[in-house]
Amino acid sequence: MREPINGAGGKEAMGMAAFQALLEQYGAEPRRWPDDLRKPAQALLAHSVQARAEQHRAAMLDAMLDRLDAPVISDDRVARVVAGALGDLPVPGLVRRRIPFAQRVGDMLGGWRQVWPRAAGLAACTAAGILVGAFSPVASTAAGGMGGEGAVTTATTASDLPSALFTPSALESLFQ
Amino acid sequence: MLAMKRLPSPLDLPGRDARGSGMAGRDRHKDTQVTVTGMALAEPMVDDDTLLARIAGGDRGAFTVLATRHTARALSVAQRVLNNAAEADEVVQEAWVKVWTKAGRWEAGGSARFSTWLHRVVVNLCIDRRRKQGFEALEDAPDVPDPSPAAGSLIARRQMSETIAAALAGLPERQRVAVSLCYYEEMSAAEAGRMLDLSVPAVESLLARARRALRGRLTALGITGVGEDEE
Repeated sequence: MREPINGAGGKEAMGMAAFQALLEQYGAEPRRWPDDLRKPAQALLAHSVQARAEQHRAAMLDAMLDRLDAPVISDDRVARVVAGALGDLPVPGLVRRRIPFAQRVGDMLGGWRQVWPRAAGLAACTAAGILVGAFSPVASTAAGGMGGEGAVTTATTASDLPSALFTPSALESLFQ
Repeated sequence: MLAMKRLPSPLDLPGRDARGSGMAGRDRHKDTQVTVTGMALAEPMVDDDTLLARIAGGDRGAFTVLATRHTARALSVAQRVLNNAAEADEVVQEAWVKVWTKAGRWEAGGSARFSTWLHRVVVNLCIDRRRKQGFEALEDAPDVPDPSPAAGSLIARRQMSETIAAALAGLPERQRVAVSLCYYEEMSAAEAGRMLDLSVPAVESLLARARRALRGRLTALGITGVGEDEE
């Protein structure tokens, strides 16, 4: 991007292209120019009419940009923002504390003591579900074999669960 | 809508970047009228690193001193980027809460300046906010003022300011941020690059494209005397 050196003008000289690039990037005000380019640019300005014309052109846009109102930042506004930030700071007591691993394991085991009766009940329900499921394929298979009457047969089987559990064919299928 | 890349947060990884700067007068704030309040003056000799170490230990007094010291400039940066005072206040407030929670990760004695770190957070928050909101359409720009007859009047000046603001708002986000930081806040391209996670040539490219775009936009709005190409 930068072309600070112009071979034709010597080691410290800046070419017009580099000067135009500088103006396009930083504007016409030398205080905004990078330190390492300010001196060569000012040297070019001192002897180049074209460089001064380019600077004048860039200064016109600068003047327009400077017409943007600056932010008004009063002491009150600063104080209000600081006070707001202070009010938003996390309260130390509410900060999440890191719990040691051993304590976390102990808590988990302690928790299981309260949970196991419920877990046993859940296991019992699961076992009952498995038993019911073991009988369902018999009814479904039979239904599948009867073609169009299958849906009716399945519905009947599912709604008559006690009889399905204790029919001889169901018991036989359990032990096959 | 323009896609914006979220910049890596310095609070996630507080990098140690060079302090070097190539711009004369970059710490000057000619447009920002601020006087430091008594709280900051109470500890004028305490440097930022020391205050951050105290903040990491939960010292709210140190937080108040540091925040009071840097809030004005942070507000200026945020307002330049967002073009909205109320939103700038919210963003800076949010940035300070991040400083509070991440202060322990600050490396005291490093080459990075706290202000660069803070401004990077602020710029990231501004970009996030703008990305959520979408971009203000240029069609929303105010009526173009007649620059000649009423140029000296308060109304014309205000209208012109709003027109410039609208032209800036129409720039792609990164170009606008680059102009805000380098032109209005007078930061060096290196410093702006650290905030935007860009190289110096990349920032310079953004600046050049922004100036060309602004000149074109203002000319299109009927404003002459912006150094437009002669035909």
